[in-house]
Amino acid sequence: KWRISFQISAALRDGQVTPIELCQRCLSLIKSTKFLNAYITVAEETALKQAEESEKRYQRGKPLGILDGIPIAVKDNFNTAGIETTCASNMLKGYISPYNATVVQKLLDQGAVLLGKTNLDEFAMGSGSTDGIFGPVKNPWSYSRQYKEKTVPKSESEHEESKWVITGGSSGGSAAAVSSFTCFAALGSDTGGSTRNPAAHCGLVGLKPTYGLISRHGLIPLVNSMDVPGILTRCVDDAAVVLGALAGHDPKDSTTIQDDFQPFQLPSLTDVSKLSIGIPKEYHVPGLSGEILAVWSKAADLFKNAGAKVIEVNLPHTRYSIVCYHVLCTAEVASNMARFDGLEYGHRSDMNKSTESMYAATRREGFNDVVRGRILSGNYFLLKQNYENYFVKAQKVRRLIANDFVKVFGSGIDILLTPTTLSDAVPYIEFIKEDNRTRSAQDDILTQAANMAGLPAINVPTALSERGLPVGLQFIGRSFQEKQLLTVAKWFEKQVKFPMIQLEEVNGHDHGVFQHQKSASIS
Amino acid sequence: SSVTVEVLDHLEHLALVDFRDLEGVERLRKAVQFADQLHEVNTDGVEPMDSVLEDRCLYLREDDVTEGNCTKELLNNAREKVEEYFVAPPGNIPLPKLEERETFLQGS
Repeated sequence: KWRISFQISAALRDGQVTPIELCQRCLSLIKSTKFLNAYITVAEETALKQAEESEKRYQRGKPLGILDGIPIAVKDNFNTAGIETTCASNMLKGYISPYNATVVQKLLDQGAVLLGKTNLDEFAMGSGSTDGIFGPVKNPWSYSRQYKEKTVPKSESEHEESKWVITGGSSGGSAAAVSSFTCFAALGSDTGGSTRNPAAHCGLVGLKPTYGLISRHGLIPLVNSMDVPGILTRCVDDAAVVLGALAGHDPKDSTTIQDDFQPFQLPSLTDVSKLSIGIPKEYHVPGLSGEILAVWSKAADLFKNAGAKVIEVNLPHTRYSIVCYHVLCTAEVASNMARFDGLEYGHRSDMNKSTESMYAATRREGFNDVVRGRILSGNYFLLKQNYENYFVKAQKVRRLIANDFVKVFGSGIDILLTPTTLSDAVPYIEFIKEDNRTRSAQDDILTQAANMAGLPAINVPTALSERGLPVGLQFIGRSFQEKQLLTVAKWFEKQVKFPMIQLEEVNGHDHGVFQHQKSASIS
Repeated sequence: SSVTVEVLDHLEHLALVDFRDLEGVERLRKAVQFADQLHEVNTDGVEPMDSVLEDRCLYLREDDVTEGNCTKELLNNAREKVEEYFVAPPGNIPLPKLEERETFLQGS
């Protein structure tokens, strides 16, 4: 199947397709799926130049690696030299990065073709990809045959306008970009679940690596102690390939570990009898849909029937992780957002009376309500009179949450299996009925603790819901044991055989792309 | 509650972000209420955790200059500049007091 990097890479090496052809097809598909609003910036010229260079290398028989010529997209909170980086905020509209984030540079060094920057919630704050200045991202599955078959619209236009579902967030643009075949992989970021959540809603593999494995240099920070770059792909093998290109110490990010990282190919596990899978009972939260509970249960049985040990475990402080996150996140945000004052980059107000009033006006004009709200809350928790009771208290609770995991993994559990989201993707009109903070608190509940503890976690698309939308499950692994985590995820992916999205909403000439992709899978 | 007008005014000065309207103030009150749940947890004898990598050594680079000379690139993104300076309005002028400035909190 051409959706898999290994095969596309082989096709490029054999000359079945050229990097320029591939790039052009993806750019064309981006145009015809513009209504998804997945991309903020499409870097057409530079992408074609990169594709040209790649083509020369293939012609010489010297590709840089598997990723040479592979079209990718990057969330718009990563710095990309010469390309606008907005964080979907007025504060950075028009800001042209003078440098590449380390992860972007690493991908480019491998010959990947950067198609563009993807849409997100403003400054990555949100769980719907609905709160950015460029508008919400639409989940490609809204236009799938699978979803349309399950909903009976009153009229054709009524369906499209009122029934489209969210991608989840905050890396929704990246998820939509991969899910609609416009690229083979995309970078997201993950602070509370921002890569895994949209992965689950868009039927993708979403990997949150261990904190400290991948450089954050150039990723515009939200929470320095929890942020990680995330990887979105259509299959687990692809995620391993991208991880291989990105992981490793970066002298420019002192929070990356010094250990040598060896890229790996995933073995095809056949025997799971030595595996110990933990099912944390606290993840059976109120609000978890019956459907997802059933999928989770079925998955546990799958492992059991294949011979693995499946054990119920306790992570007693799980229910405090959202509150803890709320305090730590807003506190770090208050600090991180202080850099936006209009002097050196970004939006600057016309107000000129004094530095402070210029800063205040700039920030008033540049930030949306969500961002401003978090800054104010964060500053509240950091006030001298509140510091011990809120900030330090939250840091103590953080240790308790992290220790829960240490105990469980120390007792012989290899991997945890949990749901990723509470339900399948909701329609946009439903989602916006609640405010951002409420939504984030609800939606991050299953993903946040992994960020608190710095552990690697991955969403694997598992099944379609009754509404024809993707449902995913989450695996959480031990620190820096990505190989084991991905190996188990790959085994699971093979068992569940998640269906490919059947997108009809593409123009005639792009239908050819899908035909080609489908016929290539037979050969 | 502890979220008085004085505290709100203080926050506006610290954050250089304003509450704008009643919704902004309510948002803070709800955020504090939400955070209060933390006090249900017994953290006696528990050390605060700064980083999940606390058991590892943090290495610092050698204090050698390895890059720079990029004045032009750095100035490119600034709106107001003169020669090689970023230009700021006059400093050391504090934000006006509550009574004197335009803020929603004035009405409180």
